[in-house]
Parts: sequence; C-alpha cells; structure tokens
Amino acid sequence: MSANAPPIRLGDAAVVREEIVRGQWSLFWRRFRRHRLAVVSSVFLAFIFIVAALAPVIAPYDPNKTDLQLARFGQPASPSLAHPMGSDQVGRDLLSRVIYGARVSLVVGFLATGVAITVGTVLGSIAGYFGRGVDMLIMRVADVLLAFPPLLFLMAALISVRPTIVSIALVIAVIGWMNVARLVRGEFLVLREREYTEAARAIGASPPSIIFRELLPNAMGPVIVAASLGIPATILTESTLSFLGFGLQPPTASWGNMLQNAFSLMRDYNAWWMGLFPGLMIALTVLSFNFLGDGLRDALDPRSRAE
Amino acid sequence: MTDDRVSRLVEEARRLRWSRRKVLKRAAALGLSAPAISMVLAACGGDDPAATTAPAPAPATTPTAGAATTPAPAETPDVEEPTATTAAPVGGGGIINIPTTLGDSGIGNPILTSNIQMIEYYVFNRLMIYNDEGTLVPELAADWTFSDDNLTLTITLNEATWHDGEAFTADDVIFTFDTIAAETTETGKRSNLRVAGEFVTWAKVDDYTITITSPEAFAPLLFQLNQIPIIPEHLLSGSADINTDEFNRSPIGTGSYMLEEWASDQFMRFVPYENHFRGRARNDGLTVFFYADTEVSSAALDAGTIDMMFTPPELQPRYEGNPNFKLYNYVYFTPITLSFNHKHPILQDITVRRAIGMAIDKVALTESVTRGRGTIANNQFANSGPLDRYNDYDNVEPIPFDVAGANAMLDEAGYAAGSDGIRVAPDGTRFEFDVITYSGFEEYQNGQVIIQEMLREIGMEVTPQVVEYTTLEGMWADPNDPPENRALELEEWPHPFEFDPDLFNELHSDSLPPGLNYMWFEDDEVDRLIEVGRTTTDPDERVAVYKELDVRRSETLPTLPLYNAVDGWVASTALQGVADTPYYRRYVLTSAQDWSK
Amino acid sequence: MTAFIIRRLLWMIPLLLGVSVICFGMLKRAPGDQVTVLLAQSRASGEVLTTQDREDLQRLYGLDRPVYVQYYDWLKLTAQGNLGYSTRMRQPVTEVIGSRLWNTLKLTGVALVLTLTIALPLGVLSAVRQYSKLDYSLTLFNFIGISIPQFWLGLMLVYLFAVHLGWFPTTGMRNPQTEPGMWNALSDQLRHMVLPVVSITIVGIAGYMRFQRASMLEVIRQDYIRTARAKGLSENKVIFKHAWRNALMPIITLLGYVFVILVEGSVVIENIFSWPGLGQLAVTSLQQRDYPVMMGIVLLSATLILLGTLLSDIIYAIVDPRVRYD
Repeated sequence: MSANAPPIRLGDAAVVREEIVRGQWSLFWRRFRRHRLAVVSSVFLAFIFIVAALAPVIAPYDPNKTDLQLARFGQPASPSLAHPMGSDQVGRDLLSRVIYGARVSLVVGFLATGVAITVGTVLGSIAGYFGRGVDMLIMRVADVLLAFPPLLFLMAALISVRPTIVSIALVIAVIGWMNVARLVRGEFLVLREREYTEAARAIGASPPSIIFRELLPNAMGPVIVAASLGIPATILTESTLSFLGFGLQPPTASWGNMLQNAFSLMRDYNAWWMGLFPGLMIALTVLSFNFLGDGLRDALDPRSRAE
Repeated sequence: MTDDRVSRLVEEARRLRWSRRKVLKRAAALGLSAPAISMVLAACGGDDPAATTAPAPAPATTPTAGAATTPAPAETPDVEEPTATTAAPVGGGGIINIPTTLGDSGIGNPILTSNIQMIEYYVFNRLMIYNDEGTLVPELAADWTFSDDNLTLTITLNEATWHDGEAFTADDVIFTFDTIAAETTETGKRSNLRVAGEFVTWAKVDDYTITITSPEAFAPLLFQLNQIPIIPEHLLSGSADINTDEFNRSPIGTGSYMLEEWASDQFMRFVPYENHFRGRARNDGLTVFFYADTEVSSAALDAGTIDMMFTPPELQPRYEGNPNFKLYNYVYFTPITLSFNHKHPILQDITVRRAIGMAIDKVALTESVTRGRGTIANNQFANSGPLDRYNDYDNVEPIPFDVAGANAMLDEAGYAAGSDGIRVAPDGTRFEFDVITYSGFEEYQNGQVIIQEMLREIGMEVTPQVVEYTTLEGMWADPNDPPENRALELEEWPHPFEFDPDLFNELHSDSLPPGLNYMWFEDDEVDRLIEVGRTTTDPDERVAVYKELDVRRSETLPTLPLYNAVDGWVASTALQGVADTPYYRRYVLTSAQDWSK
Repeated sequence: MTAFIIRRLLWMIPLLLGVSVICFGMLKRAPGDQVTVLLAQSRASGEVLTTQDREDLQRLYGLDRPVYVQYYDWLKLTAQGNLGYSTRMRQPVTEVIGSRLWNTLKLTGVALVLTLTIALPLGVLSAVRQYSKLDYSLTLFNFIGISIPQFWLGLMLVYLFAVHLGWFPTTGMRNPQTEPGMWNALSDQLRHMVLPVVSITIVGIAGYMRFQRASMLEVIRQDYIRTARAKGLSENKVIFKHAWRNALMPIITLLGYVFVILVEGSVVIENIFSWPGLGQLAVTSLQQRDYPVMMGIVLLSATLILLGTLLSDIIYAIVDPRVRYD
C-alpha cells in the first residue's frame, strides 16, 4: 500500500517500512497459500469475474431474448443441451441470465463495500484523530444508524429512491459504514499516542498527511478483513432485497429477482431449475468470498489463526 | 296467459345460453306452471350446464344479440326480478363458507374508506344494483324515472326494515348522501354524487320518494348510485364522529344478512335476515374467513373448509379436471392494452402506432402470458360481460399480424433503420421506447419482454420498466412527466366503470393530467362521442354511440387492445345455486343469498 | 450502576428521535401515500374516483401540510404513547403490531432456543477438538450456513418437503379446518412451524457456533484452565464447569444483535411462508404506504435493539467485575 509512496521528509522511516512491508507481503502470500479453500475460492471468484466481465461474449443467448415456442403456454423449458440451465416462463435462456446476473451481484458487492469502507475509514479517521466534538458527532450518527434494523432501513430507502445498481449500492453503504468507522477510530485512538505520530506532529506535518501517511497504513489490516467480509454480506443483502421486490426490477436479471417468481413456477410446472441455479450461484459466490476473507485474515493477522 | 312471458324467457335463455337449472329457477320465479316450464325447457334445448362455464364465449356469438335485447342501465325495473311474493324456499340451505384475502380492516360502515366489501354487500343494500347479467335491477328503490330533460331522477323506494326493526325511509337515503358529502367523512364515495365535478342535489318528496337533480344529463349517474350503500339515519344521525363510531364494529343494515359475530382477523359470521324485503336467503348463513393469501384459501378449499374462492389464472390449473370442483370463469371487463403516450413525438404518428400493432403477434403473446386462457382483444371492451354490447364487431377491422407490412409502412414513412438496425426519425431521434408497467403482476412483466422482442423485428428498441404502482400513479398525475419516461404502458387502460362504458375520465381531452387521461390522448371526434354517450340516457341510442366510438378508437389508436384476461371462481360441486355464467366480478358479493348446499 | 443505566436509558431518547426522523423522511420522500393506495383499490373495485377525491382525502388526512408539521404531529401523538391508526386497517397501530409481534415471537423464539441448544455445545466441541475431522466439518458447515441465502434455503425446503413430499403445509400459520381441541391446534401449529423454524435455525446455528468456538478457544488458553487441568480435574469438568461458563460470556454481547436477527429473519422467512408476523407486516405496510404501522415497527425494533445492547452491557458488568461503568 505504501509501496508507491514518494520519499518524504520522513524518508528514512519510509524506506525502512517499505522493506518491512515487502517482507510482510511474502509472508502474507506464504500463509495465504496454506489455506487451500481460500485458494480454490480465489480461482472460482476469478472465473466468475471473467464470466461477468465477458458476459456478452460468453453468454450463449441474449439474456432478454424471449422464445415463445420454447416455453409454450408460459411453461418453462427444462434443461437441455441447447439450454443447459433450462428457460424461464417466456423462454429466456436461464444460463445467459445467470451470467448477466453475476454482473449485478459483483458490482453491487464491490461498489457498496468500497463506498462503505471509504466512508467508514475517512469518518473513523477524522473522529479518531480529532476527537471531541467531531468524534462525538460522527459516533452519534453512527449510533443512530446502528439502532436501525438494516433490512427495514434498506426497504424503506429503496421505496424512496428508484432502485438502480448504483442507488442500491449506495443505500447499502449508508447503513454499512459504521462498524468500519468504529474499528478505524479505535485503532487511531491507540496509534495517535505512539511515538512516530508524535514525531510527525512535532516536525509540523499536517493532519491529513499524518492521517493518510502515518496512521491509516497501520490501521489497514482490520479494515481489509472487514472489507473481505463485507462483500459477501452485501451480495446476500442485495439478493434478499431483489427477492423481496425492493431491489433491481425485472427484466434486468439479478440472481435475487430471478428467484422472485420461481416458487409458483416450481410448484405448478415442477420447474426446479428456476429456483436451483440462481440460488446456487449466490451461495457459491458468497461462500467463496467468505473463504477468501478467512484466508486473508489468517494471512494478515496470524494471531487470529488461533480461532 | 303466460305465453308472452314464456317466449321472453325462451329468448333470453337461448341468448345467454342458460343452463337447465337456471331456466327452472327463472321459470319458478315467474310463477310458471309445470307444463309451461317443460315447454320452455324443450324450446331451449336444455343446454348442458358445463358447456356454458368454459372460459370466454367466442366473441362473435354475443355482441349483436346483446345489443338488441339486453336492458341497459337506464331502463326501468325488470319485471322478471323475483320479489318478496316469489321468494325462494325458506332455509335449509346449510351454512356457506367463503374466504376473503383482503384483510380485516375492522370497518363495517360501508360508506367509509377501507370498509369490508362482504359487509357492504351482505348487510347493506343500495338503491339499485347490477345483477349477474349486468342489468341494473331495483334493490331499495322500487322504481326510477328520468324527467324529460333527463336532469331530474325520481326514485320511489321499497318498503323495507332495518335489522333492528325500524322502517327504512327516504330519510335514510338523504342522510346517507349528506354524510358522504360531508367534508369530515372519510369516504372514497364522494364522486359518486358528483356530475361534471359538481354535487348533484337530492331532496325528499315523501317518505318513499326522493328526487336527484343533476347539472347536466348524465347516463352513468345510475351506475354511480349503485355504488352507494344506504346507512341508517336513526342509528347514526346522533353520532359524534362517524369515522370512529361503535357502529363500525356492529353494523346494522337492511341487507339479506345480519352480522352475528365478528372475530378480528379470523372470521365473520352472517345469519339470514328473516324479514328481508326480497325474502329470506336460501342458506342458513355465511361464514367469511380472513385468510392471508390465495395459497391459504386454496388449502382450505381442498380441505373442504370453504366452499368457493376467487382464482387468479395461475391457480386454475389445479382445479381443472377435478370432479369435486367447478370453475366459473369470467373475463376482466376491460382488455389488457399497450397504450401509447401521445405526447411522445414519434408515437404521435398514427403510422408508427399502427405498425406497432401489426408487429405484435397477439396469439403468441396471449397464449404465453395467460397460459392459454385469455382471448385476443381487438375491441374497446372485454368480449364478454356487461360492456360487451358496446363493442362493434362488424365495423372494427382487426389489425393484421404482418411484420413485413409494418416494416414497409415505416420505411415508406421515412423512418430508415440506422447502422444498428434501430430506426431513426428524420429529426435524428432513435426509435427507443420505455414500456412501463407496475410491479407485483408477473403477467404484465412477461408481456413486456415479449413485446420488446416482437418490436425489435420492426427496428424498435424497447426497454421494459417496472415500477411500484404508487410510483406509477405519481407519474400519471404529474403534468410535467416527460413522455420518454413512459412512452408505452402495458396494463388495463383505459379503465371504464365496470358496467358503464363512459370513458370521459380516461380518454376525453378535458381529463389530461392531473386527470386520468394520463396517456395524453386528444381527438375531437372521440371527445364528441364521449360527450354524447354520457348525456344519452336511452340504452339503445347509447349502444349506437359507443359502437361509433369503438370504430373511431380503432382508427385513432389511443391504445392497442391486446387480450382479454380470464379470472374466475372455483366452487365445490356441493354448492348449489351458483349461476352458470358469472362473468361478473362481484358475484360472491351479490349472489351469495341464492346458494345452498 | 443505576446512574449508568438511567443515563443510557435517557440517551436512547435522542437516538430513537434520530431513527424516527430518518425513517419518516424516507417514507415521506417515497412516491404515493395512503390516498394513492386507497384510490387504486377503489378504482379496481369499480368505484368512480377523481382528482377531487384525492384532494379531499389528502386534506382530511392532513397530507397536504409540510412534512415537518406532519412529523411534529406524529411525534406529539407518539410521545403520549399513541402510535396512531393504521391507514390500511383503521385500527390502532399498537393493536396491529401487538398481534403480529406475538406470531413473530412464537416463530423466532422457538428458532432461537433451538439454535442455541444446538450451536453452543457444538461450538464448544469444535473448540475442544480443534483441528479434528469434526472441527473441520463443523467449520465447513458454518461457512455454508453463513453463505447460503436464507430466502433460498426457505424456498428449497418448501419445494422439497411441502410441494414434492407433502410432509408439511406450504404456507400459513394454521389450518382453519383443524378439528377443535388443544392438542389438534397445537400439532397443526407445530406442523406449520417446522419449515420456517428449520430455515431460521440452520442459518442461525452457523453464526453462533462460530462465535462460541472462538470464545471457547480463547478461554481454553487461559491460565486458570491450565491450572485446573494441572490440579488433575477431569477433562469434562474442566471444559464444562470452568471453561464453558466463561466462554458463554461473549455470547451475551450478541444480545442486541439477536434482536436485529429476529426482525431481519422474520422479514424474509415470514414472506416466504406467509407467516402473519411483524416481517410480513413491514413489507405490506411499505407496499401499501401504511406509514404509521411502518414507523411503529421501526421504532419498536430500534428500541429492542438498544435495550438488548444495554442489557448485554449490564450483564457484562455484573458478571465481569473488571468492567466498570461510571
């Protein structure tokens, strides 16, 4: 993270730390490799990423292309060679829709977590560094949001703004930054009393430079772990919202909204594929992120290995 | 002596394809002798009841006959209607159990908002009501006549009693109207007393006569009056606050049933009112269960807890072919349409609208979204039911399904396709449209993507949008809503009243947003016909006017009728007295007193 | 301690105010209101409705006034312990919520008890036999449990056990046709509860087991456990008498979180199983723009979450003398 930092007034210290960091990276990699499931998950996630990114190339059909001959009388077509995951009630290819649905889940997952982490880190830093009134204000806002049941907040928010990928990600971030902020603030309260902070302050470094160059890099470990756990949680949240009808509206395919009408079709036409595949994709993706997060935590914080 | 009545009965039975049982019932009600009845049956050829319950009779059979003979709203009371003297056999009909999934609002006063419909219909009466053939028949009113200028309606009232024994009089009607008009009453029924935005005036002539005077001749007034249940003056005139009065929990009406027990969120128990002015109900009571949804109702029906329930199309396959149940389907009174936003610069061109019509394969669309149950729509109203008589099947030319023809038309009109295959208007606007519908209705969402696909064939890029109903409602009411937001809409629009063809609110140029003409349709000739239609009170003349309107609509294409949706009831075969052609949506509310088991 | 509790209780007031302001703001920002919904319903039942009706009703319900005035009115009413009337059901919000709350508690209460009785012992076992095959498989189960979408699990269970095998009813809380009698009613209710309870429990177990395992591992390494072992106490005694008691402590911190789970889980599961509880009510109230009820639900859940957190802090202070509040 500080590998690209230009030499500054504290040049010597920076070089020393860079070496430490480099050493930490190789150590990190050695530890991470030991977590087999995390490695497998990374490969799976890489695959999902490629599929999502190249969806127009990979998907066998246009995800919105209907085929009324395939699904006569609104009856979904069962899986076949031409349609490995079957079709839905208007003859759209399920595999293609699942592939496009990956985009929604991943974008919302990363965007929401990214915004939540950034906002949480910045606010947590400010609160932790300046303390007093600012700290008070930020933490009380956090307290209010923490008192909200997140799902109720999200449902209410998404009837007041029209659900799009971006708006969904943003409202999830609004209700998701508080724990990161608390984490960073806590680290800061400890770190700001350390010698090197004192030293930086003594030579007249500005608060932003102290925050970003001295304190943040040292507080980043827990934040990375929080982020790695935030993404799968967000993907679950997004799919739940879509399932309940508050998320992305059809016909845009998302894994959650594909399951919205699945039950009646499963019951009436025994169309198990409508319910199985989108749900399985959510579960596998979230599982992979969780394994990855576990691997990251082991590698970054060997103490937690004890768990 | 009975010849005249017999021939009328035969004629009607043939036209409406009555079942044997229904003919018998009617004949009995008319007091015909046994030989006369057998004559009728022979003349009718004794239709098989099952044949008449198939979904949606073919359009061609009903329209002309319906127009010629069915009495229209303004006609004076129908002599055939059973009165107290020809009452059905008393009692012994068992207790009928029915569900409601609309929830227990706790409001039993029928004029308040969110009142319970079952109470409104079972416990209370209105002045007049539509029977299950869609004909307006007397209830608390005995008779009504329009003055020669059609401005004053004189209504004479039946002698009836409230459940507590008090006599029903004109004072109750006046009190009901006054209460609805009062600003502090939480009611959604106020517009029923308005004509052209103004309240009509009402006055008591004597205890059994009232007059209603409206600012202009207005045929739908009778429909509007049919929406108003009459509440008792003697119990409510002293009420401090009618919105929260105790009466809400223990309503007293003049209706066929008295509310005996009301367990919140569980059930309501109704018992027959012995002294009802039209005779006691056939059965010994009704129990209405509050169920969470149709799934729960359906389980209860399977288990025999309830005797009948409403079935949306997706539930119908479960009961088809099951000997223990019978489906009674009806067609929703207005077709599902693709409507055009007439503020949209490209869609203003009738050529484009027509081309869209030619590009849509209604057969395939209907088959898919209604799972093979719906029928294709080419006219302004549903092809069965009370509004069918206003469709002009002779002169409305169905739009052919012809993709090549549509493309040729658009090419000729100068809309050339761009490099991506999407057409471009001469001013550079691409042929891209949003088709919007409201959420919660899978049928419409399926229709959207099918239409998207079909219109791609003629170089149009259609993007389906689904928004919550309330959101959509907000867009409708906003005069500044940009037409690009909802160039096309897929839903049931225009949405006439259930029994009256008036479309002033939805197609007249005086109703542009914030009014209900939210697709911004304007056409002088359509305006004129709507005005003539709503001020004509003669039923036959009205039919002629609306047939003309049907033709004019097919020429100007405010909307594109796509298909007629089929909903229905499913009843246990043990239930007797269920009429055979209940295309009527409020069937369970208006006919429960005729059932037995 | 008393001063601390009082301070914390007082502190809840501004927090709840904040929650209510945010919630009210969001709801009022949403398009449509109770009148829109009412008019839509009336229109569908064939009623004649015009823009005049809309304006009349909006005036009657006070919806034409500025949002802050409407909020102030709501606040005034709420301060008197009256949450107003449900716009959909015209019943006091407290009554509407009360009856649903009981249904939700029945479901989540059973699920919670089941979750804890399974998760906690397994968590301990997993920790005691760290790195054993059992530990690995339980950990794997944990990961799957926290990764599987709860609504999907519910759907699949219904499809398999209710639709396909017909062992359990698909939806609802009770069969109205059940023969009278307490035993029949109870067994009918239980049959309806199986699938939703299992859905909640599987996901719940994963979370709690993981937590219990972690705290147990921490405790096992403490000096006093080593001492106990050194004293020659039997392993069972060491684990269950000394270690577990202390390892249960961190579970208490989850108390606030339990209420979050209670509300959230109920939203998803109740909607799948048509269980007439708070979660289903929340979704319907949002769709039907029944804002008084939604405000009531949010306020109630926020209060429960705050009380839960406070309670866990208090218990912590009581059992762990090192923790002091002043």
